[in-house]
Amino acid sequence: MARASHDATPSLTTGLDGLMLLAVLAVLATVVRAAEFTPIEANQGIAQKIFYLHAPAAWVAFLAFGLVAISGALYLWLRDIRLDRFAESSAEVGVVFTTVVLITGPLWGKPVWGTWWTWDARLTLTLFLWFVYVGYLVLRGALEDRAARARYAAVLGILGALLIPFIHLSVYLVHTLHPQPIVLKPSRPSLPNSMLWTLLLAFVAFTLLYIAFVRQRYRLASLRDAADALEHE
Amino acid sequence: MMQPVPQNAAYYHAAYVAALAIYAAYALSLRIRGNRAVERLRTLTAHRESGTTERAP
Repeated sequence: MARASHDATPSLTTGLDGLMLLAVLAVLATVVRAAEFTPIEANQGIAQKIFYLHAPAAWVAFLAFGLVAISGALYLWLRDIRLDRFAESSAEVGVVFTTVVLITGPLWGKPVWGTWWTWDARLTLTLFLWFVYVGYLVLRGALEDRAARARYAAVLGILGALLIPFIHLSVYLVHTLHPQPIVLKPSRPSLPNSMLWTLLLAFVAFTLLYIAFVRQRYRLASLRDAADALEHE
Repeated sequence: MMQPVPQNAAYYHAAYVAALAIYAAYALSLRIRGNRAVERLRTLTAHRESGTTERAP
């Protein structure tokens, strides 16, 4: 059995979220810096700037699903319902960011590779990752029993995250069209400073956006659980 | 000095519009679902305090 909620009754006020405001401002600053203050790459042209959306979205998706797996494992150990709520929130936000990865990738691939999509390892595994976590959300919606839902979802969340190292290493393991990592690699980042600073700003901005989204989604899950508890009393 | 805009600017614009639209739509969905959840909890709390046993929709 899952333990009862440890939370106080969630707040019923719906005010302005300061963290969300900060995240939105950081994202807008990233967009302006990428558009106006970052040079156009010589070979790929302006389409290269899609990278400032695509790479941070991929980083956040990996972070989100990695945290789903960790909180799922901790849930199976501690049976604390807050961990399940966090996993549920992080998975949903991760699916949103993976959707952005899967849309911006082809929009970069068409002008640079000459094709929207190719069934190479990294692209295909990223699509599978999206399917696994969409399945995770569908599974959660299909199960009525709170404890069973949390338990099954934790197992699927852990198994799904096993794809992440394969996706990251796929560019080394198999022949692929996808570029190799230019920041998350053992050697120095292979980008000029002006582009590197824009990319780092983008990583910070979209990580903040992830935290703001998860915070709001967690609150939503707390409100739902509180209402369900009242309804079943 | 103005930089020349390569022909693939349409893909760049489409990517930024699509990504920002997805994030904005998700933020809006959180807002709407949050308001609905608050309303549901308020209704259930009011029913509980007034002693009725009806379920909120």
